[in-house]
Amino acid sequence: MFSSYQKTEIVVCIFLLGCCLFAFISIRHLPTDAKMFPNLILAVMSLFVGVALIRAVMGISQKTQGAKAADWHFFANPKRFIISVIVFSIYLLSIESVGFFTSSGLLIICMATFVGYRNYLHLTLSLIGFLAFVYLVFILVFERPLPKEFFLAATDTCHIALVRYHV
Amino acid sequence: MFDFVEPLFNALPLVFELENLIGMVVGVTAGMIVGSLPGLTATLAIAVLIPLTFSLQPLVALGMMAGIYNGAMYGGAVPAILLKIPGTPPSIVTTFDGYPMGQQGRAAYALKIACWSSAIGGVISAISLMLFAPPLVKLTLLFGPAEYFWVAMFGLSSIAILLGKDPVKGIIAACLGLLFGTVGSDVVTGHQRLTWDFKYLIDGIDLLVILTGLYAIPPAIQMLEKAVLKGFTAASLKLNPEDSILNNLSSFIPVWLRGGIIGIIVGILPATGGSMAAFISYNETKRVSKEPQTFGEGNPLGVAAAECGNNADNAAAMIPALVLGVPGSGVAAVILAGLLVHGLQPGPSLFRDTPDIVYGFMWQMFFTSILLIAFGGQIAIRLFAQVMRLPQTLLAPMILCLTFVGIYSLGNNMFEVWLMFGFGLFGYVLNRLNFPLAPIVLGLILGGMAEHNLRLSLLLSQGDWGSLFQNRLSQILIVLTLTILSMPLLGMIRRKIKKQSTSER
Repeated sequence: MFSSYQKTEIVVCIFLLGCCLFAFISIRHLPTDAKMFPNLILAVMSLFVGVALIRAVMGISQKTQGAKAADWHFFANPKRFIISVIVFSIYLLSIESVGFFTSSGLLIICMATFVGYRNYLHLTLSLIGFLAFVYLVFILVFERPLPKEFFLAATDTCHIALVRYHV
Repeated sequence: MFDFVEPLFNALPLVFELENLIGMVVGVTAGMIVGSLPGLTATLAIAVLIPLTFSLQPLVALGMMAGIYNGAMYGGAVPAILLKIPGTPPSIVTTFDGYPMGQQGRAAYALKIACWSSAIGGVISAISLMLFAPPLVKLTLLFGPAEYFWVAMFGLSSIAILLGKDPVKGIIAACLGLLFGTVGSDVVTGHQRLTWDFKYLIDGIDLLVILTGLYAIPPAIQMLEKAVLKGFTAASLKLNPEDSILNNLSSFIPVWLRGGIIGIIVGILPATGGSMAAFISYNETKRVSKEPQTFGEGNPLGVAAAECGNNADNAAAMIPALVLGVPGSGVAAVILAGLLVHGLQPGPSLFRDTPDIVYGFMWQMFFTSILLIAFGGQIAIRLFAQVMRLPQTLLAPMILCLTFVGIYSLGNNMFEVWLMFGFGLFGYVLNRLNFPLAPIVLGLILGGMAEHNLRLSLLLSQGDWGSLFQNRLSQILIVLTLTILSMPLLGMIRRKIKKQSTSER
């Protein structure tokens, strides 16, 4: 019976072997000169992933980790992991249309609340401090272009429409 | 022999320019704050910072990185002494005597010792960087394409084999880094490799995308998973000022000298890092002590040895990084990436073409160590201790927002941001399975150099693979690489023999 650590290692090794095969196929049409180095890396990598797979099946790599692997679980908390990944994905999907500061504010509030943080005064103060810091450092000092806030973009659109109408 | 002295001192006035001074101060402060927060490392701080320094002069950016490096290595001592939680991996050794000192009501003294020892270790290390790097770089002029290829292989195998617990995983990680480095247009033939018609991949994967993804996303997700809702209470961080270092200077000086030398030696060796330097320095101090039984019970010399050894590794780890492009530690690998981002290629050309920057960086390592004393004193320690009251549940989403800022501002495209997130999730999986991440970054850095020199060598010898093995220098590098590669095997044989001999007894 495989332990949870072994199972995860086996899955990852098979995934990596699949990636190697896919990469081999993807570059097979290239001239010899261009594919020589990637092929060399893929050969070495496939060899060692194979070794890692055998070690995982035999439980050798688990032994090198010591006692930790016995009560090992892939996720420390699967529910919180999934929530974090989903919330961050929504953040990335919406940031260009909503704007950096609005979506970052929402991300911090949502993530902190989802994982159980309930001190709203501390949360609000930390949020204001963080966003002010980002504005000061990245917008004013470094002049980094960040996605514009949706309400500012809407104001700009109205302004352009008004100018056109008057013209 | 000493022709590096003139460019070294020519670079000194540049370091004192206002923006460089501000960069160093900001770096040291940020580094100490990051280092004092358990779970946040110097590597994470530098990885998040690098994309944001594009608009800065290279020397200002390097000053900030030097400050973060030195600051974070010291900052790790704050929670180690106050709470027995190492802020950074090397500060584990600081907990041995630092925490008992805190329990005896001598926390302020322990923090003061840590501050002074870190600064002195950093200064000794920076001096070694100034003295050893310039003469060593002249040796690299003897290197041809074949030698450079083997240098890359040696650097990669040493980081891959020695850094993690499992050498097989280390080699796989190095191969992954090399493979990511081949994505994009082939520089010789112009053919696209592993781009799958994505236009954003034609120029290859930006080093920062991988760096930020691998180093910043996994710890942030892990913090959210653990969901530590409370920071540390003010009561647990109370300090009582007392004792004086100056009164006990005679007992500290030999410890600092010993720790400094150990840190330099460990730093120069590839893939060893501050943890090993701190451990060896602590053990040696304990070994030569007249009262070894007091170590672990709150001996101030234990704190001094650990912190001095740890920080003496910092600049020394940059010696092989600047000379050969082979970093001595994981943090040095990330700083090396920072150099590349600013268009600075390690090796003789770095010293010849941009002496102000490379020597300026050496001075910055020196001065940021001294700044530790100025900024790591009583008031700062109290401030950083207060930063530790911020819960990780709030820190994690803030880190995620900062990763977005860094990567989005590279080219204003979401593709790279998503790619960074993908690498973050991949890094999370690798992290959970104890794959070392530094070989991936190093593979990415050295991959281009290895491929370029391999192809150049074959081109010059008209496709003769034997040309890679003919030169004496190449042969030395091959032997070194093979020695490193065979180390796990030798270790296994040694363990078996030892086991057999004990069972026979």
